[in-house]
Amino acid sequence: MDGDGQQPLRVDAPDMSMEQRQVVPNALLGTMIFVGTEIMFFAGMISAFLISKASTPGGIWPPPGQPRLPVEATALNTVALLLSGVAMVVAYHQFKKSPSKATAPFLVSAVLGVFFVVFQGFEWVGLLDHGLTMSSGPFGAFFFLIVGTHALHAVIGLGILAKVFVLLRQGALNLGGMQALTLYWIFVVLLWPILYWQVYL
Amino acid sequence: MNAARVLLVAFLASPTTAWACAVCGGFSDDEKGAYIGTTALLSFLPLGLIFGGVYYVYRASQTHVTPMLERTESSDRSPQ
Repeated sequence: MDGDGQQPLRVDAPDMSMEQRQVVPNALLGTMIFVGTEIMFFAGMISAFLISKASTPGGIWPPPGQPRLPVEATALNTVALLLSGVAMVVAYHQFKKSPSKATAPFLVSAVLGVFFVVFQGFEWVGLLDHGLTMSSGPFGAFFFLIVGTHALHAVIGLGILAKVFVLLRQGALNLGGMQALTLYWIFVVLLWPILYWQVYL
Repeated sequence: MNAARVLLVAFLASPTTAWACAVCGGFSDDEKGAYIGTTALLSFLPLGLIFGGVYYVYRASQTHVTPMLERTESSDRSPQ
């Protein structure tokens, strides 16, 4: 009791004898869990695609009468996306040394990512002109579903890249945020060769 | 009762005839391979992801905890 009859305010202070340190940044942990669910999402779609492909009468894939996919042009696009991933890894390592040094490789990564999405957009227009649509058969349905879902992830990734670039320029980006972005972009980049191998080849 | 036992044994002995699983009969080798491969993928991939994530967090905790413990021990040894 105090002199004025009031109870002293009791504050439950944290136990200072035990040092607590965050092992994994929240942004990175959240992104790890998210990327894990996305991997399973794509694994499900690829599984359905493989079974449908194997069940084709006569074992001919793509089915006769369907347009052929631009394998060589997309291989070039695949290289562009892989280089974008390499640039992002470089940006991450530069960021750990000095955030200002990460700007250039970060921009290179973003530009190559935009190139990939735009190139794929032109490819889609060509395929639609040749009659390949979501409703033209299992081939078109799986193509647009799987490749389209990946493209959606790439577009969302570019949006995050733009937002993070602003934070980087303002000096407001922390290491956890950079790690989370790098993990997400590496997921988008490394998923693509698997999809290219399964869907295009 | 005996008839039921005979039927059970017949089913267990001849899953292909009974079509007891998705890939036991009536499919081509490609389809069997696709079913078995995708079943393995969807079974083991989530386990790998979970164990990989847990291992990463464990490794991260070890690299953080070890220097912290060393620092605590050295401060305990220092004269008051």
